[in-house]
Amino acid sequence: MDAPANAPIAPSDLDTQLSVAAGPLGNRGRARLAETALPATGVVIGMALIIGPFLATVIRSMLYWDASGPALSWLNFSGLFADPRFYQAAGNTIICGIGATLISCVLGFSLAWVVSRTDMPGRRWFEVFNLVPFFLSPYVGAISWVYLAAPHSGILSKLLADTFGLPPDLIPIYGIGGATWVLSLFYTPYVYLFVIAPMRQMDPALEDAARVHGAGFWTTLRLVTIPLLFPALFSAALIVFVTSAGLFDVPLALASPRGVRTMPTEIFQLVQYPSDLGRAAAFGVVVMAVTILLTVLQRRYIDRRRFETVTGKGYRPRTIALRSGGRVGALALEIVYIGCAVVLPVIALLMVSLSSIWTGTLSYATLTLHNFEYIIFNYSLTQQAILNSLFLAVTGATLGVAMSVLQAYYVNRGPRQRRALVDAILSLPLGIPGIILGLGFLILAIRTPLYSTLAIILIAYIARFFPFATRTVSSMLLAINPELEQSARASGAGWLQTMRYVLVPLLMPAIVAAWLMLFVIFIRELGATILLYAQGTETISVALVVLSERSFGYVAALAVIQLMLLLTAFSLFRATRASLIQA
Amino acid sequence: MAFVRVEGLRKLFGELVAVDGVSFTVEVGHTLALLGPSGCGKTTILRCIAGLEAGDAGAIEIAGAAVFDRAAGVNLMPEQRDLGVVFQSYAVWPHMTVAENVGFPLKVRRVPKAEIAARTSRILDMVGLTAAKNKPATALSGGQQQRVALARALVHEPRLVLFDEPMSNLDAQLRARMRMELAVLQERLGFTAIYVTHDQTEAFSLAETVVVMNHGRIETVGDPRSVFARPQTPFVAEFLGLNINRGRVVNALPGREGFHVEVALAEGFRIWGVQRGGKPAIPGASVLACTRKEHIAVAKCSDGTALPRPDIVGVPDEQNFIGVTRAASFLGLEEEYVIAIDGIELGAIQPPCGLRAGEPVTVTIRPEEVIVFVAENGCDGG
Repeated sequence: MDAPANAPIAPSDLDTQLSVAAGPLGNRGRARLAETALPATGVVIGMALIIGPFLATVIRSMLYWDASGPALSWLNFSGLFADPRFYQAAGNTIICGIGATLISCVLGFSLAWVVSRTDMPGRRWFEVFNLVPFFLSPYVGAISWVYLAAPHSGILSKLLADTFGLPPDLIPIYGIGGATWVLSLFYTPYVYLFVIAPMRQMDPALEDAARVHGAGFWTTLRLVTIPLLFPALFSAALIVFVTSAGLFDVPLALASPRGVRTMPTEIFQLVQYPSDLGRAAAFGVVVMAVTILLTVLQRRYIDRRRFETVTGKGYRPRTIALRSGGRVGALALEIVYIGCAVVLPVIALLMVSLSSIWTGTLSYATLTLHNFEYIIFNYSLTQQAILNSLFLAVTGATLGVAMSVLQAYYVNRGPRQRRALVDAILSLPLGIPGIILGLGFLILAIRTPLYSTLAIILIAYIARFFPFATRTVSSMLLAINPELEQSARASGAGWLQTMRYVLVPLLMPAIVAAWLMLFVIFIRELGATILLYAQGTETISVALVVLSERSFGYVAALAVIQLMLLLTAFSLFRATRASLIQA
Repeated sequence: MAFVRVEGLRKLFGELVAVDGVSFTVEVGHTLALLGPSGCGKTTILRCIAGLEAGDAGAIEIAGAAVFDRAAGVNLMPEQRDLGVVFQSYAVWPHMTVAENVGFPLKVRRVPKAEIAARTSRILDMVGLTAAKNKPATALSGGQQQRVALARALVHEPRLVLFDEPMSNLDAQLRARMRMELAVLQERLGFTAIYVTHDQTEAFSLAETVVVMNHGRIETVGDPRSVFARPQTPFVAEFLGLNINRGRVVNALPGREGFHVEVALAEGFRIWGVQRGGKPAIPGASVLACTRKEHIAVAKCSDGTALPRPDIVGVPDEQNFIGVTRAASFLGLEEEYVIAIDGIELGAIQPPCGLRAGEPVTVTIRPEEVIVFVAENGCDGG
């Protein structure tokens, strides 16, 4: 960590050559400059990206325009708190968030358990399938569920009405219930990912010890397994609550059409003409305060209750032989989940995208490829949107990952006394809803040349999502023994050479994973984009929203194209990770 | 009376035969040690007895009742077997205090709270952890966690306590102390124990019966003294750290205990030893000569020339050789040497006598200290 700076470093030939170019700073001075300045630059940019929109929102929330111009005032806040719509929106969002958190915790924990700890048939496959929803777009998921379950016209609604004579508006897909259901489906993989790793790494002897000392299966689950996994489950629950409550996509598709207010859709409305940016900013400040409070609570909790269940040993997890009833139950759970989160929505999308007129059933008379042909070859909005999304995703992922490597280095190898604080600040955007960060950048950019450019969208994307990449790279860097770098330095490599030949190759799996993750997020992002786009800078997700008022077929076809991009990234993710582990 | 009876136990992991038809019994109040290198199947046997693995064949009986019988379809759940187990990783629950950990077996047996508190205190007192009672279990050192695991395994006074390499994570001094304490506890509480270890000192000091395992089979069974003094197979000899050298039989004479065999280990290095049991070695047969390092006496030899070999017929009382010290390593009270005699290397351990590498030495070995095994198929031993 700090040792290489003090350790005598033998200059290598290459370093000596470089030092000639470096001029008066000399070899060691130059190396030390790169070593301290580059990671610090990554950290400073990251902090600026967080603090900029944050400050802009706070300041804007306290400015109130009257006849004489802007003045400092609490009027935005008092107006907000006097508005019954604020309480409706906040209440609905909290109900949605809690509901989605509870359902996804139960689903995610159960799925992780049957996949990692039992002999359920096909669990190797389900292990992969369970992650697919993580890579899909919640907005597309929500519109697919409209195709499936809308009253009268939904595929499932029709099927149930025609086969069983049930009322055609049985499934309440519009409103709080529907939004909670779709959010639960999309956030289940978060819980699944959070608990499956500790479930695997847990010393099986901890459960064995309970069994041999007299506890049955359910007692062991209640007294040992769940309490041991509780920290992971609780963190997952807090993160799912914060992110699902802040997600704009699902309420836009399922709550707004019935006039049900939620926090993100309400902020969106406040920015629309006639806009009230001041009140939107005040709403944003309230949400940010709650989010930061919850994030800090979560970190505190985790620091206090970090159990040493992982002893660094490779445990062979003991699989539990299910009885036939258990097998059927586990399989049914998996099939229902994958069916609802992936298979049914994809089938619905394909059916709608291949029909010239959508009536709720697929018929040969209306079967067509026209929707695809039109949005790919003839419609400039969708063509531009696809190009914009690809540009944003590739550029954004590359810049974001480069920044995250520097930040991860700083957080793990930088000045010891600043690491924890920097790590905490850099993780703040993890919970801040995209629409609120979008609002911050809108306020920042509104009177600058950046306004209505792709660049401001790119900056907002990186600002909102780089912590995911930093987390991924950082957790891998944490596992790399600093002696590996120290021995490179002792062998004569400079800091840049050590990064290039030792650290970056070691981190490659995390870098690839982080890049693909950012790519996926940027391809489907909607919350931040919706406030920042202008004519010509639409993305695929924005085009879906714009088109949703015109044509089912075009929306479904464009959603299928987005789905294919996302699934490509997912399969690359699986493929590279597998091959990287083998190497 | 046999308290635990294991009959023909077999366990497969896919293709691998982890336990291959193992049978043994343990008497009431006795300790049986399963000793062997890692991967020999000893832990698997313990897990089968605990009910954490189900054997593929065989039967296990505890206190006269079948807890596992493949043929009869009997397989009791672990919690139905009334055991105490000390795991290698201790498996102390990090989300509970010391007292909660130790009281767990009583809690799940629905013992009244007051009684749990009293019995927990009593057992914590026995293992010397009274002061740590209300600490979180993770705040303890490795040695203390080990005591928590021990107290938890004993608190409900189980009939049988299983130990899975319980001391392998402790340092040498702590291990020696825990060994003594464990012996005292067993004396007081009178439980029957099965103790898995790869450490021969642990096995010999704690157990009435030692079972040496190799590749899922039992190599030898016996009381510690006989297993130690007279290794029954080349594997046991090697596992106990004896020198093992391959040679050919030159001469074999019947003696008081089996056969006296003269073995040529090299052109100029012939040694007399004793073969106990088995078919008598015939001249020319391939054999293994095993010598305990402590039984080889080494002394400085000034001139380095060979002693005239007395041309006696029969077995000498003592045989002397000239060798060279290849390496010396100081162990404290003792020093270990590697000696080469006519190119054959032998290890020797004795009080330090200041020999350095490269020095010529005289080596003295008594014929009855050399154990000769007929090499089967030429692939046994080292």
